[in-house]
Amino acid sequence: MAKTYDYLFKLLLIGDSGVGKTCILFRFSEDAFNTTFISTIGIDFKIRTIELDNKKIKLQIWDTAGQERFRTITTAYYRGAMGIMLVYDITQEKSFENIKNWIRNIEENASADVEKMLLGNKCELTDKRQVSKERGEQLAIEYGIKFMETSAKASINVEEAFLTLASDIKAKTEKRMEANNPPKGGHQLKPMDSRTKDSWLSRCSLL
Amino acid sequence: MEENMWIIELESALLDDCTVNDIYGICQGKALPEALRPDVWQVCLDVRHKSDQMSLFNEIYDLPFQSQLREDCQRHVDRMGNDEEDKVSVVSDLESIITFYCKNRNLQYEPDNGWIELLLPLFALKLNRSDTFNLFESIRDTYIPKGCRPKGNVFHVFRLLLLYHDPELCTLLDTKKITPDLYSLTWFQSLFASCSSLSVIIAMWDLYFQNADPFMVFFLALIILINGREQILQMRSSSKEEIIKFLSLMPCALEFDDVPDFCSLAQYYALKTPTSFKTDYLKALYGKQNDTPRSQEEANKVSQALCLPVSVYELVENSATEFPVPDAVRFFLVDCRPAEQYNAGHLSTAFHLDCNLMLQEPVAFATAVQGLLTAQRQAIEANSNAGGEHLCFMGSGRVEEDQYTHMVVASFLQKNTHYVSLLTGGYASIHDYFGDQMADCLEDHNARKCLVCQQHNAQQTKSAPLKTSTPSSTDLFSKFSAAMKSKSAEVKGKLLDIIVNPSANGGATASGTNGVPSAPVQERHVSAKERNGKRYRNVAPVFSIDDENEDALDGAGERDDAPLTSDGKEIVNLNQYFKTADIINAFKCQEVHMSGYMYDSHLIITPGQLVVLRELGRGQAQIMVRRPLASIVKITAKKRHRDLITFKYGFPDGDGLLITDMDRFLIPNAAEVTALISRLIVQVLDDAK
Repeated sequence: MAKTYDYLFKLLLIGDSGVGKTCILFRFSEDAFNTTFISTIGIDFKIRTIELDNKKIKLQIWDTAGQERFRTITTAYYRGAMGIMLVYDITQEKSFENIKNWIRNIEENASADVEKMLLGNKCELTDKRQVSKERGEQLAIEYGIKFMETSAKASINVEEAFLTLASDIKAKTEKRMEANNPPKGGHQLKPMDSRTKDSWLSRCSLL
Repeated sequence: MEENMWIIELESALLDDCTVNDIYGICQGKALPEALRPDVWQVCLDVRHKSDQMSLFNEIYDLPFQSQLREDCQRHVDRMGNDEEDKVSVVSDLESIITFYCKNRNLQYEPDNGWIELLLPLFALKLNRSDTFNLFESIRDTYIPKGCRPKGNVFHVFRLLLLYHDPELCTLLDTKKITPDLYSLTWFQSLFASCSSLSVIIAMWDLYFQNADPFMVFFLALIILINGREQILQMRSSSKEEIIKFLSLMPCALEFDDVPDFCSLAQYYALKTPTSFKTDYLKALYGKQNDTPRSQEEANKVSQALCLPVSVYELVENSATEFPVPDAVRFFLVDCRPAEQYNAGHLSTAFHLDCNLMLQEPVAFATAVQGLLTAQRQAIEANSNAGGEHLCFMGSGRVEEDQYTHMVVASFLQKNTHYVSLLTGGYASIHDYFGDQMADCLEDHNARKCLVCQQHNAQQTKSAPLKTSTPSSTDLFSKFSAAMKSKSAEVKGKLLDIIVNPSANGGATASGTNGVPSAPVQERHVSAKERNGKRYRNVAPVFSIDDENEDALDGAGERDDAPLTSDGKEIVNLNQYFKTADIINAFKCQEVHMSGYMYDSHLIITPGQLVVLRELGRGQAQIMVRRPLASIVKITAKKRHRDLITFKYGFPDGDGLLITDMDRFLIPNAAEVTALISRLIVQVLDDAK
């Protein structure tokens, strides 16, 4: 069977229960919003194929349950993920504070070079805001990852967030492929030490 | 006069040394006469011969929380409608019993821990302080699960039961972040005494103690929820606090007349629930102390379980049961491993559903699920032992792959599918369960391709022949488990095949789609059937089934054809049956039912089995049940009635025995019969070693 895509990226959504992971995914995959909230049982996933630089990229996005009781089950999915969206709710201080625990979970269970991104969801609820945009930005800089405020309900930045994460993974993948199979006649690029985590600035300069 | 015979019978039983079972058999759920209740409860709770523990009490009330306790006792008793004088003595007895209980057990009293609520109904029996204490202590030990505190294990188990029977309701409560401890803590702490009227509690406890199932409280609580499900679902938009308040007060609506229905519904749901969870959690919930690291691990497992676990023991035994009770759990086993692993060995009752398909080709997967549900429906209609309403999913038992199994299970749960369970340990546990007989018990087993075999080999080459796969504990246990294995081996020939024909189901059902040829599966279809198969009459050609009653368990199988009556009963001609070669002896006897009915019967003893025939007249008899000798764990005779013999079946469970079933017979010269059977059992177990 001919491949219908050039790349397959596995992404993971994590964050506290009720921050809107499922809604973000629903907005991205179906471009719709569901007001009745039902908590996710264990794990779910959606698939969407996007196009970046004339390459078809199939995104397999895993939506995890935020509740503590599913921790053992959901942790098993960290290993295969190439990109992870950390989601908090800008109207819930606690969900923002817990981001550091989620980061620790990633460090313990995901592969070291996984791409990460921080999302502050529900940004349309300005009058209920508890976490300022600046604090989100600050935290992202601390961890050397990208940040966006999103709204699944008002359809703000959801598409952009996934495209950003996907293109970062794509860039990293292509860089690695080039390092492994240098183009004929070209200069052998000095392989970057892929095990050390690139800081976000150094990656920026490369892009 | 006639209808009160049972009361006289009960009275005489109580004068004698009777047991819970005797009482259960005599009363059969009838309302107890008030005068007999104290004795009945004492027998049921096994405190009749308990010593006077309260005499050890020094009557010093110096607990650190004594004044709080006294206040609470006072407050609860004030709410009762007794005379002032009465109240004073109740308060004082209440306080002394709890004080002594704390000192004797080295426990701390905490407000609202359910002790006072639990004790108050006992005062209605008007027993002396010491007897009341003994009852209280016994109820606490036997029926109040350990860890009855916020976020305790009890509530994780309860949530899994709710998820099993009513996923929609469970998910709604999960979404509202209402964990069961928030509303049901007092139900479990006090066996509903905290929120029901005295008459209701007494009537409920009458049935409760006679039923003698510590897990009944789980099912009673389940009934409360399911009974109110429509109202709860309508509260979708209410606040968390409102819902909790509504839920916790639900038992208050129970009335005296509801109690028998309430209890029998609970028993019905218990019947409709896999039982492994009871064996798995019995120690953790009702055992003595449980702070060992192992129980912590268990606790972690239950709090993190995706759905109700089913043990390999239950799964295999269940599919081997010949005459299931109507409504009993029957499993439909869904094997979620990758196709190549399935093709290298699987249980013959397993239906394959390729999990990878869900990711790679969601549409094909949806078709496969449709095919699965169709096959399930057909298997149920055909009344086969691979067909059941209860979906048991199994993975490989290896973490990496089982994430896909979990994903599939989660997708079923998200669709509010009820009766969803997961096989503990996956395929690896089935493989290990059969031990040396594994090759005979599994279909298509290919040692070269089987991952579990490869793993075992790798381990063996690494570390010298250390141990075989079975983790035997005591000598007795290893005896039994070996016997179980050989029994499973025998049964294997009888397990039916359930084959999905990919082309009949839109091309995507079983294996195949993943680029793995489905040919091996097809071959098995043919070879397994040609030998002795008859196609089942009313079944679409999607799959075929062995005639499940055709072969005897022991596989010797040369028996005369046993015609089946329309409802699946096995009828034999007695004279012909007696000529069967492998009968060691046959005894005329009467089967005694719990109800007291007696049936003219024959007890047939073969080298491996006990067969019960019930006479139908004109030389005909019906085979009621076949019991493997190895499953007999106890044979008892009545003290006053030496010829009344009870056989108990079950398996060893830790230090004790778990009784799964029993038969009772009136056998002339019983001693001769039991001696013969005992000898044979020892033989069977020795052979199995």
